[in-house]
Amino acid sequence: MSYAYLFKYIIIGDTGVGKSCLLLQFTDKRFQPVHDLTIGVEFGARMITIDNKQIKLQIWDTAGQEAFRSITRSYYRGAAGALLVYDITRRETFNHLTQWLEDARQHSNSNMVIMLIGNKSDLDSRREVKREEGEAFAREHGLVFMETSAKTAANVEEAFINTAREIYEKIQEGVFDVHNEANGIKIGPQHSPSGAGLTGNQGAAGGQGGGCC
Amino acid sequence: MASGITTATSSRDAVRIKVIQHSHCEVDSQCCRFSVDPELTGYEVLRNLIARAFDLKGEFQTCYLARDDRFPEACWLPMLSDFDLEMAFIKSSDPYLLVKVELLSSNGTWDAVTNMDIPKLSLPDLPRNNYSAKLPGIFKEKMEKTLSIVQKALNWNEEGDEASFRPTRPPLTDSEFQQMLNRVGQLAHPKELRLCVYLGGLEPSLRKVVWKHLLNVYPEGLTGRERLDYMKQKTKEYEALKAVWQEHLNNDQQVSEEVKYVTNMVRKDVLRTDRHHSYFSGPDDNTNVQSLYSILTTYALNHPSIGYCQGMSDLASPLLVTMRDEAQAYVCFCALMARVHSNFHIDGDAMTLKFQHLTEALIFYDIEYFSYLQVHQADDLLFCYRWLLLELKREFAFEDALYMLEVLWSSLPPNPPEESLPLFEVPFNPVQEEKTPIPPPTPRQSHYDNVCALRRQRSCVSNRSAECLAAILSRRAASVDCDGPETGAGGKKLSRTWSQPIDTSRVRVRVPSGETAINVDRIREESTSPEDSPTRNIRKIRNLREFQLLTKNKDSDCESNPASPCRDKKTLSNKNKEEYSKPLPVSCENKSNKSRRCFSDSDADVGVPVYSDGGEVDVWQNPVATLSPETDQHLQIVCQEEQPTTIQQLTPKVNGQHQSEVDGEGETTMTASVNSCEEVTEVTGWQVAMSASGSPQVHTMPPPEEFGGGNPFLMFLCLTLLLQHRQHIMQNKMDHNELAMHFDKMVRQHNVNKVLAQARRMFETYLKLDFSKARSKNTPPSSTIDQSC
Repeated sequence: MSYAYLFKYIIIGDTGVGKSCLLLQFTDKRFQPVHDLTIGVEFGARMITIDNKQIKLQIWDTAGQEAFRSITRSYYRGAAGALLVYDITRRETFNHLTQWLEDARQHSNSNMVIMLIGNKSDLDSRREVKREEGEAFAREHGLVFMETSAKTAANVEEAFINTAREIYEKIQEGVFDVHNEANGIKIGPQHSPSGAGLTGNQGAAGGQGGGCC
Repeated sequence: MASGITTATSSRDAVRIKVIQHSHCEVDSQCCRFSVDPELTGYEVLRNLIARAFDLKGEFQTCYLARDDRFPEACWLPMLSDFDLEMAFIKSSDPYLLVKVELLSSNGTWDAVTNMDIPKLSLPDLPRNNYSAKLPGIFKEKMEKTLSIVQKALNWNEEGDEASFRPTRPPLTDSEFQQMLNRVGQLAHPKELRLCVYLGGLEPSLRKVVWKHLLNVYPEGLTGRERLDYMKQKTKEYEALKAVWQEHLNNDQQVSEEVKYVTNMVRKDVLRTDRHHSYFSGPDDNTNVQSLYSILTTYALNHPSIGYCQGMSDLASPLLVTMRDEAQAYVCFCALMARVHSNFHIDGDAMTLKFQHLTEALIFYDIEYFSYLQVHQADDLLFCYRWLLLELKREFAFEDALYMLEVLWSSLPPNPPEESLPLFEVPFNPVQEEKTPIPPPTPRQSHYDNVCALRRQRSCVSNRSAECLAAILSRRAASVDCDGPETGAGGKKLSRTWSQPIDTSRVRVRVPSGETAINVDRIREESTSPEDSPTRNIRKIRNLREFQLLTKNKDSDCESNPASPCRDKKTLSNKNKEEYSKPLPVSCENKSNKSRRCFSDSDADVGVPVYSDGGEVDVWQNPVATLSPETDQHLQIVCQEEQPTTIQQLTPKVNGQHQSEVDGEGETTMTASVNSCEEVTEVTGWQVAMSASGSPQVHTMPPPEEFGGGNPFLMFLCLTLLLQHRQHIMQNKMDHNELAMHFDKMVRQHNVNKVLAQARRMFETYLKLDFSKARSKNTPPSSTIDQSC
């Protein structure tokens, strides 16, 4: 399936905050409490539509443990969007946000759109981090904020799509250089000068690689 | 009469054969039909075809329905030899030859082996299956044609399905394992055990017992009773270690930060480890999940320099599932971690080295593929991280992973603990902890930082070029240093295993451990004695030639793969025919030597803490070198259909200079070109060089004791995964992201037999390379002298 743009995302945050579950909920629309511990980086992809344009999201789900952090770092480069996730039921995951953000800012391109996600909103009874705290952090650091539940799917679509929308706006404003793949954005085959009107090889290959589309 | 037979059979192009399998345990009989060329099909060949057609793993006997006019009515006659088969072809094959197959009970297969020497034990079914060894080269081509027809007749998938990747040996059975123990239950044949498991894995029921041997849980020489006591002791030790932190966790008011950190981490991770497996499925407080948690926590708290790191749960889980006992699984985990803990070290050196070696191997075996990855900025191979860290455990379905793991472990030389396997580094002591609270380990500089920094750096071409050039220069200097005195020594070292006819096993028994190192060196000297040199030269040239054939000759399929049938034809015409005509006794002798020497080396290790250089050579030659030359041919049967792809994958490599030397030249010049290759190797040592186009080239591989941080087979498994998706990746022009995603999606889905078959083949070919230069670079000549003094 062809697409107008491909955006590369990265999901970061402490171990166990629900990064892989968010991804799975978004790509497969299901919650799987039992899943593999992420070693290094795992992947997902999904097609979304913004302004009648097909946009493919290619999402890199990273391992949260400190020991893996530099693989995370190495993937910031070339990401257009990042979901920075914490767990509202574990204060320490919120406390580590500054570190994550520092990392992200330091290793990514300056235009990368970062969305702050307070996950596990379904576990309100065990909440340790108030919604307002998340909002305040986001405001302070210029992030978009949302509380989500990978379990109930609440706000999951929105989180990914709003991020995409913001990236798309930046493209339209000419902030992103779409021809530089290091920005995490790729123009789909039908937009490339030579491949106008064709659903070329590139798109096909992309579809296969993603596997979820 | 004899000529009459020949005439009669030669007048027929094909004989139709119908085979029915009569089994004692299964009610239903199977049957299959195929045609064979009576001229080319011998008794062994037929047995082989039958074994494959019915997937027979054990012994079986064949009889045929005689429609002979000597007998009043058709009756079953045993078919035991070529003569029987010939008679059957002549007298009883109209309209078809009916053959009955009866499976024998597996008991008895090993009876004959008990009192026999080790070599036969190590490869009990080789002579039976190894039909191609018996066929002169001229017949090979015709034979293959026939075989392919037969394959069609038997509906074997030509593209190489499961059948062609089937392990070279059926899984080791209980009775076979019993044969490897002596009367008091000591493991008398550790090498052979490893070889058998390497070739075919274990019957699942045997894993609980044999894995402890493979994982080096037991010190050498324990009797069966002692092993039981040993495990009892270890279980007690474990329970004590576990009790300390559990009590601390339950009773103490102030739980130390370290314990909190570790238990939290581990608890989260065990809930996401192999939960799809029935053993860990169900509610989160499942006792088996709890066991995994206890194992990992106990390990982390009692190994402060390592602690807990994600990935460990994946390594421990198969052990627990197999042992079905928490304490035993812990002991196994300690044994496993003794080898792989460096992967989890914060410095990242071990992982960096593995990435580096994988890169070198890819350059060496498939420069074109590597260039593709380079162009797509995927040459850092970071997507292989999980493969390397978990030793591919997650790349195969769980049960397949168990098989892959035991094969992988068996590819390593035995390394039993000296007295007892330590279950802790520093025993966890909560009281002490509280006095001097250690901050939770939140390393800012993780090993991943280092690995990735290095990988990313390397993905930048210019950096790599500089790096490589520096490497060449330093290595060249190293090899020049030792060129003079060491010239040719490498070949001698390598061939030592093949040329030493003395049975060193007796020497080993008598020689105290301290002296064994000297013994090794004496052997090395002896191996250079003149009467050994012819054999040695033959071996050496064959090795190098195989290397050349492997690396070149795109045009000729059969030549470009050393395991292909034509190799033997050529070798035969080139070399000493007498030697080749009786390959079995020669190799048996060698095998026994190698095995024995390996044991003496491990003795040497007790006395000399550092591996002796020569000792390592033998240890590493052992697991698979024992296979050649027979097993090459054996393997080629099993994996025949797969080879063309392999050849394609393996062809583009090494620089063009060698290519021109070999291409288009006749057999007579082979030796010359081999020599020149040798010279080149001697000048460059093992290493990375730059071709004219600026792309890196690796001329020689790191030796097995270094390759992959001492786990060379893992490297070949990873390489195989990469190569088996080469076509798909390149055809679809996958970029870095796409191919990383592609491999990510392959989690638990690789075909274990296909991967193992190719990895084994590559590994075996690799072991025949000449590593002398790489070794001499790393081991200063003086150290060798020291040992012999």
